[in-house]
Amino acid sequence: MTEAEVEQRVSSFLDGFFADETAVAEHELGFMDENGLQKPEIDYLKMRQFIFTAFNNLKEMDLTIADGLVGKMHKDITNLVEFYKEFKKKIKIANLVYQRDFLPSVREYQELNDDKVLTEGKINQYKHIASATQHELDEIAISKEKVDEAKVKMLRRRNVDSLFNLDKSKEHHKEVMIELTALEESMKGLFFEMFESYCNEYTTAFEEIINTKMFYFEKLLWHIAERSSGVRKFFDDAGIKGSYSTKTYLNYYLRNINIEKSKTNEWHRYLHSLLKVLD
Amino acid sequence: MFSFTTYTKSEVKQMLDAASRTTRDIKPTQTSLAQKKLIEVSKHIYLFSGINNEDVIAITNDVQFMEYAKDEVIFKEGDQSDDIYFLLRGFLSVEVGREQKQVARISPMELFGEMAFISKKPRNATIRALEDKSTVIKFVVDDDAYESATSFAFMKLYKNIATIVVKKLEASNEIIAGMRAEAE
Repeated sequence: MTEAEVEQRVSSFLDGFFADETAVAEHELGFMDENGLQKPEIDYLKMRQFIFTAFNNLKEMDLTIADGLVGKMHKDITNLVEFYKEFKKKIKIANLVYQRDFLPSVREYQELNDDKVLTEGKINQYKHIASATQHELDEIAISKEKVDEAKVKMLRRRNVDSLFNLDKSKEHHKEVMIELTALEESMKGLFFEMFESYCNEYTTAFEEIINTKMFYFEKLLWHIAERSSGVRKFFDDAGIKGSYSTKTYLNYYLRNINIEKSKTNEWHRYLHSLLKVLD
Repeated sequence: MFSFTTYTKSEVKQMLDAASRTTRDIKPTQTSLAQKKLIEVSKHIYLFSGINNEDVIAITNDVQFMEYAKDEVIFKEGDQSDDIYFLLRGFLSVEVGREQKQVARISPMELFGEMAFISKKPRNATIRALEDKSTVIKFVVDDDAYESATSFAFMKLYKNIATIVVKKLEASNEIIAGMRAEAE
């Protein structure tokens, strides 16, 4: 196969393998483009966990926060994040995808593989015949009964034939294996190169989609929250100063979590890293 | 299988609007004296009919007492403003045209200025204090609060606005009918 042919096979396979990702990315990027949704400058994907925590806490202050568009966007982003996680899992097993899914989809490889399996079957069969005939000949040799010369002749012929065919099949198997490995190797480099390029493309797309949706979700969440008497009362009672925003709430949250307990934990470090993002 | 979420044009607009606004500073919910007074007199304000005190506070902003000296103008014909006023003390003159002809008088416990909030058009008259220390409560109804938890209050508010508009229309029709009768 020429390199162009291999490239065509790999690209056609990967188009099918990432068909769901293509559909989701096209739909979401189209929606963002069509409606003029802007990409945020800061990393909202990183803030997702805390923004969702804020959403849950605000919901406790006023259940109606989760009504309407805020709830709908929360569900949409949750679905997108799940889809993105599945995608990340899917791309971790590139080797398996290559062996299990891609190679069998290449006709030339499949033909060679069929030949290999068939040859292995033949090898087993010839081994069996050789062993069985040899066994019978050995028994005849130690037998005290009268020797049936015709039968011995036939057994010897079958034994020799099977050993000859066994050697021939082993030789053929070796040749097929060399061809298979060569074919496998000839496609491997390009496959992994293209696989990585597809992965990078979709990783960038999904991060952009989730980041943008998170940005609009966060803005809408606080827009609705600042108009809620329940939230306003909570902020007032807690003496929270600033604007109705993730940054204000994060500062309050950090002041109120048990620092001693959480000093070493991941969550506390994460929250502090968010403050840097927001500054 | 991924389930796609689709958004209506109005939902997209809501997202874009929210993102384009800067969140306001947290304002203490402690009720000011002017707000307390507004709550006290709200039972005399048809605009707030059926709306509870908490919601009155939630949907009004910049509630202030204003005191005017005699002849001082509260607002002028042609001014662009959404402020609504409730007269607590003194009398006010309603004047129109270049010659500032007085066409009506506002007495205590009367609401005025609400038509500009409803129509979003410039003031159609000038309001002038007829006495020293004429006192009003000035406030604005918060347009941004429409999506808040006080949606029931807004529903009531708009029902009240509709009633006010109908009453004003009926009053105008009566004046027109009277003028016609006079002309005949």
